[in-house]
Amino acid sequence: MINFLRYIAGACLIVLSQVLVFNRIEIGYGVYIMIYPLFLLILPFRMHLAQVMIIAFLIGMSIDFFLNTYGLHASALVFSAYLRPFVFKIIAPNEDYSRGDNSDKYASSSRFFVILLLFILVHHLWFFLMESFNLGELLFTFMRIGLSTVASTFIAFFIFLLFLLKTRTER
Amino acid sequence: MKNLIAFFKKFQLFLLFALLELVAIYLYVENYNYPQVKFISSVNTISGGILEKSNELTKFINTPQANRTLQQENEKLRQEIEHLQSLLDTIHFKDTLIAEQTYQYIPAEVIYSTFSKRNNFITINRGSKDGIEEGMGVFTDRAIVGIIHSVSENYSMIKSVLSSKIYIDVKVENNGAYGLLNWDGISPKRGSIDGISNDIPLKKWLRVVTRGSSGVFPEGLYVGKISQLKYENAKPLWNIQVWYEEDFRRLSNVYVIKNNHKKEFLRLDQSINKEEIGR
Repeated sequence: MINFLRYIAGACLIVLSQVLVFNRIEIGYGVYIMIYPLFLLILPFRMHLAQVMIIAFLIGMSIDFFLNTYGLHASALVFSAYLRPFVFKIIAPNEDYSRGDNSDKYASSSRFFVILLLFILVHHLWFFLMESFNLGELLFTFMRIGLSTVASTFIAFFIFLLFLLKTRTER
Repeated sequence: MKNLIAFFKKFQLFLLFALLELVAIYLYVENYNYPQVKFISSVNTISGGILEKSNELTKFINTPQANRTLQQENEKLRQEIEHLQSLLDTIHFKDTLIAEQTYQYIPAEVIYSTFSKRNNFITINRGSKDGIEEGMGVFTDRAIVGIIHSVSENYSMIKSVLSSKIYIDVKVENNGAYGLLNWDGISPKRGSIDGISNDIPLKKWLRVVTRGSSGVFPEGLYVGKISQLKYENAKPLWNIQVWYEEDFRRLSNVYVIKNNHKKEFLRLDQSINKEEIGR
């Protein structure tokens, strides 16, 4: 129960920080920092994919709720949630992800960084391609995806190091 | 049998995925052009309220800047009043002037805005309670900003000129050549004009203003300057880049334009269209 409340508080925090802080950071060059996919990686591995997708949908919708994007963030986050098991499989094909908590798997933060990078790339690909939906802008869209992925990954990774890794070692 | 169940399970997940995607994409596509569902955008009470509170925390940062622009605008308006007053003294129409006012301006404060997304929206702290309706134009003392996209009781949302398919009708001030304003998503400082034939002579740094043909904006509001001119590939058109006058990174106070003759205008427009179809 306490864990459950913790996840809900985490979801609220990540949505609010995305909306009130990271959305206001506008660097230009089309860079858009989106750190909220991080939340899906923190969810336990054991969690059923259906649950993860529904959570992704709800978080995405609550971000859309503030940013006038009407479902764009939700669709990108559901897409990346659907690919979550595949991302884990690509990174570490021999692990058994059906058991154990995240703390075991993210033992090394360098591995987490790679997972995060791939996961955010998947999310950003869907997001920016859906958003522009125009072949004429493809070159600029890919520039956008590249730059935003790098920026989002680094910031999300710092958040992970600062707040999430610490609580895990305490436990 | 076991395989079948496993297969079904996978399929089930895909179905859920497809369902969630369909809902999300449907909402996005349906609402981007014509907003219908208000509760999932920033004009609802909860998200509008949170954004307004957070704006109150940060707005002191650009207060000096906002003050300065308002002061400059005041000065400009005062000069204009004096000028008009002197004209009025010579012709005596003082009483009828107020009743004839076509456009009214509703001042509003920006509580949330973006400028580097593909489609940018601005949330303001005035809504239907203050007489704002969908489709009204918005501008600042410098230049036009966008068009009201959706309205709730206390908040409304502007689709800024930094959006695809914004299509505001603009013209080049000195010769009246007109086209539609568009944005390619690259820089918040530059937009483009579509549809001006390249046999019309144009020069760099000509002023671009609103055309005022749709009743959304009055004629002659400043948009920006022509910053680049090229021939469009394989079309008899100009490829025009406009340098926006408005700095979208520092929006704080805007005016919403209420056209008192809008209904009359629309009725006229409709009757013209009917006549054309009848022919």
